[in-house]
Amino acid sequence: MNKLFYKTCLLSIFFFLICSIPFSKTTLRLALWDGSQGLQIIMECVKEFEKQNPDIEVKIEKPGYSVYYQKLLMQCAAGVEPDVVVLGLKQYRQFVSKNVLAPLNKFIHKDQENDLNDYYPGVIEQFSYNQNIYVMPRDITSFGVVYYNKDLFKKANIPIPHKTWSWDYKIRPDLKEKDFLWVLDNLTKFNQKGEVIQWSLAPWQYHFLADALALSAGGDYADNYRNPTKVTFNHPDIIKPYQFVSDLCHKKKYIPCNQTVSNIAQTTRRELWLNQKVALYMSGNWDIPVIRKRLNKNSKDWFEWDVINFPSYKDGGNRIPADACGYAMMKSSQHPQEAWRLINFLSGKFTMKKTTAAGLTQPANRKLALEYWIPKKDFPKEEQYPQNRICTDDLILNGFFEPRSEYWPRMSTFLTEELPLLWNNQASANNVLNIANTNAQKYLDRINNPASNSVLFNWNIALSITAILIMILAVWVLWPKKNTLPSKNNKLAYILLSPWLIGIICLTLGPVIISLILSGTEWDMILPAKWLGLQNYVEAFTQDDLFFNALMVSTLYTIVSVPIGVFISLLIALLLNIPVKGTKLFRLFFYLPCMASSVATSLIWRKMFQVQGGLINLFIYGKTGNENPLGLRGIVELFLGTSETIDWLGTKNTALGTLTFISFWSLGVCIIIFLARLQSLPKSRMEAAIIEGAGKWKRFYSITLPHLSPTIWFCLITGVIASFQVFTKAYVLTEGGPGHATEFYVLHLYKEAFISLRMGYACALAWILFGIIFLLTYIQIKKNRWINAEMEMK
Amino acid sequence: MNSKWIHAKRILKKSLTYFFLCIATIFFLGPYYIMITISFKSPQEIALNPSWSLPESFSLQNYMEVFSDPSVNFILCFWNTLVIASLSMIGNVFSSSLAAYAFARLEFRGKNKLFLILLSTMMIPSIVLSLPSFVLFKHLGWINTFYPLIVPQMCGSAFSIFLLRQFFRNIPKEYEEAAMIDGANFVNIFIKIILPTSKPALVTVALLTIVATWKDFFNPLIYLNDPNKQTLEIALRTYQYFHYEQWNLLMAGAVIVMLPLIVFFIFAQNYFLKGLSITNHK
Repeated sequence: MNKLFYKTCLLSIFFFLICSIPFSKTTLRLALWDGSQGLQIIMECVKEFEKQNPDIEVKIEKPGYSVYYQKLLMQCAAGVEPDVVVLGLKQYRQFVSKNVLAPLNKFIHKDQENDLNDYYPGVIEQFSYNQNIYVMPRDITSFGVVYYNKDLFKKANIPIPHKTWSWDYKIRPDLKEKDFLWVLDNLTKFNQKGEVIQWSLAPWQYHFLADALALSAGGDYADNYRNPTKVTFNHPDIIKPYQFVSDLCHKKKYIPCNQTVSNIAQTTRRELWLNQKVALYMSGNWDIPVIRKRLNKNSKDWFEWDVINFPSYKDGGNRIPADACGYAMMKSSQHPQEAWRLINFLSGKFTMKKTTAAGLTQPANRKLALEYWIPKKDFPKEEQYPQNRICTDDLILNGFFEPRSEYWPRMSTFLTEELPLLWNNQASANNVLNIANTNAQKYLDRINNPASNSVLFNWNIALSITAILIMILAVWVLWPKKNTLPSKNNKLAYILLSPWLIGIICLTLGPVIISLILSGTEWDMILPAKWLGLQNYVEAFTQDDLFFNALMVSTLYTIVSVPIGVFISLLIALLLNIPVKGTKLFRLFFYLPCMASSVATSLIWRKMFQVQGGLINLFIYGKTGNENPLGLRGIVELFLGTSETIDWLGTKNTALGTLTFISFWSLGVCIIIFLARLQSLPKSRMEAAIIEGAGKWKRFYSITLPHLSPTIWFCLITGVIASFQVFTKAYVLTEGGPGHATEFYVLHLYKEAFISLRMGYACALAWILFGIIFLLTYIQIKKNRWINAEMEMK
Repeated sequence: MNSKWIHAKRILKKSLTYFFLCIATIFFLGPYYIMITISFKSPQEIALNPSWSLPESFSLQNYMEVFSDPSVNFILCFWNTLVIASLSMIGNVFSSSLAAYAFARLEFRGKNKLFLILLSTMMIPSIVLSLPSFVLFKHLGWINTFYPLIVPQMCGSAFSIFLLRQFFRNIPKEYEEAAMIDGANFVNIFIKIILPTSKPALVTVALLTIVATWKDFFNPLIYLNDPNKQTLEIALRTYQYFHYEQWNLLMAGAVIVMLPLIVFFIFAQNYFLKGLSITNHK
């Protein structure tokens, strides 16, 4: 520790010296969320920038999109954020309201080259707040880009759609190819058995299709997007299009439903389109590079394709959702001039030309877009497709940008959490949207009626309280007991415990007590916290329905998965303890699951449980879905009362059970611990028992089981603790769905902390959980004599 | 007749054992079958064939692509992960075994209370601790270094201490008492008696620590910024975007990330057996 400390001191002094040398390079940190292809191009551009600006060195950080905002928030909270970051329209307002972004106006106006009038109308306005521009827009995309397969249109003998096409809830045969539903109807093909062999439309996500329909038909999600007070998710104008999409999918069969997607194409709906199973694919610009790569004229998969705008509503309404992103500068940046040069370069001509050529981005700068994005005759051959890119220009000009309220990201998750039930045809739109509306409204009401007594929270006091509490704890631990002999090993024991004690005081107890203090505050991690007292706890128990749901889910999961898990691992350990050849290999097999990367295994389990084409349903329903290869079908039908193939992770009744089943996969640790314990059972004791004539079961009950009891106890206790903290699995596999059926306690806590940005409330939730687990464990230790004897806890 | 009967019974018992072991193996290895076959498939194959089908050819195309990807350096990530995991492992085993011995064998003031604190620390969801710890490490100037990943492990972990304590308690006290009479001090007893007898537990703790640090995603994510300091698990996420996953590369990467751990496990397993055989010969 000491050495480390000195090293860090020396290093930082060294660093300071280097920094203070004039003419040295300025280092800028740049955070990007792009995936590998976009990242490579931007990295090349950054190299070019460094060449042009030899005084600047750029360090790229690339946490990946899924965790980008979470990392950025933590960095802002600790004051170690990068200089330049990529931000999207949805989230930038959160950062503006936290006062961490620097306004870019003075730089933009100094720069003659940058003419804001060149940008798509509205984009700059979307990215500014109180007349200050905070984000320099980079690229822009509409969610209403429809990719179509020309060959399939030819086969169906219908003309290619024109940009003036429109949609209605009813089919309008007289309009022919100008009517969206007519086109869909003509492109959907059935075989003689009535099964679909070709669908007409696949949206990137059902939600985006419903969104485009709802908005273009004039529906709105809230009374005012900038300062919402009333959520209108359950307005008839929203319910109708959502139900419409579900009907197109399940009744009309124009759209492949979730189950079919996993059957035919194992990955995405785009694959369906690429393999000519679907005629139209609705998505954004981002699919162009992949499609180009897959559909080159030399490959056997080639077909003629192009893009067209999503149809407008019959009355001409065409508010199709769009999104944009760009570069922002952090207020804390030490080198604003240099940072601006970087932003200007990355959102400027050179970079835009490169990314646009790859098909990656439509520049937010319309002048550049018209120059580089819309195909010209002199473009290289591979950059010609899709030819009708001019439609994306129209789409953006009429586009509807994501609402700007800083609370919108969380509000929209209330909607997306409920939707899977609708898309899986397990609930009606009316049902689902009403629930979403209630949850979102509750959240909004709390935001709009903030706590009245807003005493600012003082960090110094908090730190002193922490120190005092730790000292009280130390006194409590060391308080001499009455009527006991002085312990003789005090000195040695505390020397042995010192590394752990240092760790626990600094790295665990300190943060734990701070989180206890924070649980009495309202804190978004960046702005100063406000003191609330016990209000968070009161809220959890009286207002938060999701809290009780999450508690139920976690409790149910624990009650089922822990005892069965321990029982199974005991059985397997007993099996492995039988001396046969190859046990070493089996041991490796059973431990393997604990070593695999969690992301990869979660994805694989999703595949295993696919409705059709997944390994689990192959065992139950056979290759065609109508067989009964292992005789498991009867059991499933008996328990679930349905003879249809089951979507294990997507059905409310089975999702939690499926996650429990998956949890048995990583029992390896428990098995190994049991096995180690079994093998440490002295042979002599067994032999003595055999000589005494004890039977097999007697030997097991009187020798093996008592020998194993501390291990059983250990596995149960740690199992209960771990299963109450399950998070990653549910986060990756189900995101808490469908309909909150797998929203585990810690997942709920995570959502409150990092999506609602209510760190104080999340801390309160954590302490409630801690209280529950602590009580359970304490009862187990105190009340159970069997355990007590093993533990010798006095 | 009798001997034949016994012989048949033995064969039956063996085959039954194998039967059940094989059923368990199907459950435990099923997902791996999918992982490995996908790592050999092309995107088209993944899209069109059922997930249980065999790849059309066992070409190493995906593996080559992963290794030649200019945006991630898998070799460097491997080295970083190795440094973090091995230092964490050594530190954790050392500190945990010391603390576990104190809890298992020594009588000292506040023992039960401290043990209660130890148990309690396992019960706090680590997500809420992440932010205060992050701020703390920032003040120590440890952001973008390996220290926040290694130092907490060096202080020992509650789970390891708990596990080791359960093992230490089971070592017959007579050994130590005999050694004590012979005039051995604590250091001697610890090195000559406790450590050798509890090798299986120590190896288990080592293995658990290595696997946990190897697979850790959240901590390297928030503490490491520099692309040259990333770990394997982070590098793997390059193939997961917000629109889709590159299944073939992701699975090839996952196999690469897992291989060193398997090698380590096989190596540790041998040790494990040796350690166990000592306990059995008494």
